[in-house]
Amino acid sequence: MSALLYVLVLLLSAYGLSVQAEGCEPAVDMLESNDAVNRMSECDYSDKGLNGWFKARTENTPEPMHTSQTAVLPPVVDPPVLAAKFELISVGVKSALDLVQARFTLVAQAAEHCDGVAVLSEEAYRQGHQGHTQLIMSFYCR
Amino acid sequence: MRVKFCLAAAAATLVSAHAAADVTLYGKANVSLQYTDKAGDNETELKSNASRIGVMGSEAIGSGLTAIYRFEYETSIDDGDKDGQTLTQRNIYLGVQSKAGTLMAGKFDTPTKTAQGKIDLFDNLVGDIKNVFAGENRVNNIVQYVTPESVGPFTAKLAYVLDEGGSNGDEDGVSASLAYNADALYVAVAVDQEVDEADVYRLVGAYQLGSVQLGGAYQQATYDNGDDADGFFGSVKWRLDDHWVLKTQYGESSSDFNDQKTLSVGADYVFTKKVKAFTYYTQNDDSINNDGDYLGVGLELKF
Repeated sequence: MSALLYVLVLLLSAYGLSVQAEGCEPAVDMLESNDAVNRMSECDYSDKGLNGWFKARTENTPEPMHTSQTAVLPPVVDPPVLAAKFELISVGVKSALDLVQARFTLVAQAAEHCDGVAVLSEEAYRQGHQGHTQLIMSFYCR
Repeated sequence: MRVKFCLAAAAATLVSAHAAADVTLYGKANVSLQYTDKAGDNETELKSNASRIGVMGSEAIGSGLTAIYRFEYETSIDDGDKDGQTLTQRNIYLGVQSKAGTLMAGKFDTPTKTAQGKIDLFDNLVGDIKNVFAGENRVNNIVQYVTPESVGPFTAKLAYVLDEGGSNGDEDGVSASLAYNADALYVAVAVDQEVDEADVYRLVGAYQLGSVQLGGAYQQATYDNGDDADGFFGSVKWRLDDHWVLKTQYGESSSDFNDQKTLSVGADYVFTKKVKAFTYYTQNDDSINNDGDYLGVGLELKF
């Protein structure tokens, strides 16, 4: 019973951290669809729910220092940028107007996600479900 | 305490695994308080309705190939006991995906089962479509090919089920489906040959008419012992606004040994995409005096 309580507490605490990209149904629903294997790459769940919680823990945890090391090495990447980098994926868009709307939605979500400002680091496109184009935008918080 | 330690260890493993590759952890908790009046007895039960936890992911392996995987387990959040265990296996597979499609193997739902799409509005509750339809199988030792997304609105699946001296009289089975899904329309045909001791032919259709979703299915099944079972199924879901959803479904099947009927009505209150409260009434009847009436209220959280 204590194990079940542990899982429930974990789920409820992670739920509060969820940031759902518009149009992506929860993974458990997507997997119930007939063409689930073709849709697994359609939505990025890495920043959502428990995944976001795990990711945040991983990225905010400093690298362990080995006691035998005597020299402190400089970081390879600017830590604040690495810690806040995240990716948002739009639903499939069918027209130029949809694309403008999708970009606005993702930018608004990114701005809401960051405490400071959201900086666009990469923008990409791919063919998604049923041939519709998906917009992929990577941001980091500054 | 030992289970708690294992879960903590599993969570820690997921953290480190996530650092190496994108692993998606997902699942849902679905619990209901249900009043059951069945075959003259009645009781109030706390039910866990296919609550589950799983991981899925993919890994590019070069040459345009991607390895995909999914490990999903069911857990009973009402009493922690699912068939004598804390976790039981649901859909589990490993596969390779390319522009030519997906080849996957493991234990998972057959093409005939997944062809139902989302017409079963009381899925995993007492009003589940499996009350009246054969072919709702999640089978062991199944190898499946799925056509790629580039085929457009069509998805075809072909699966081979190895019996391995199991319950199907040492006969391997085949399950296949062809589905069309575009905008508001979903249509699928599916067939099982020698899967779980039955041959099944299934036709499924669904149409989204504004805020109303209509669903229907017709099926013919022939069991290895010679019995036939024909049945039909229909469902209607009406989204009233951002929060309230009304739904009902009816199905029946007639066979040489039993006639079965299921009727359900219910309502969902949707808090968010991931959390809803629901209530339902289901009446299941058959011709061997195993009738039941069920009234329930519950909560579902997806993550």
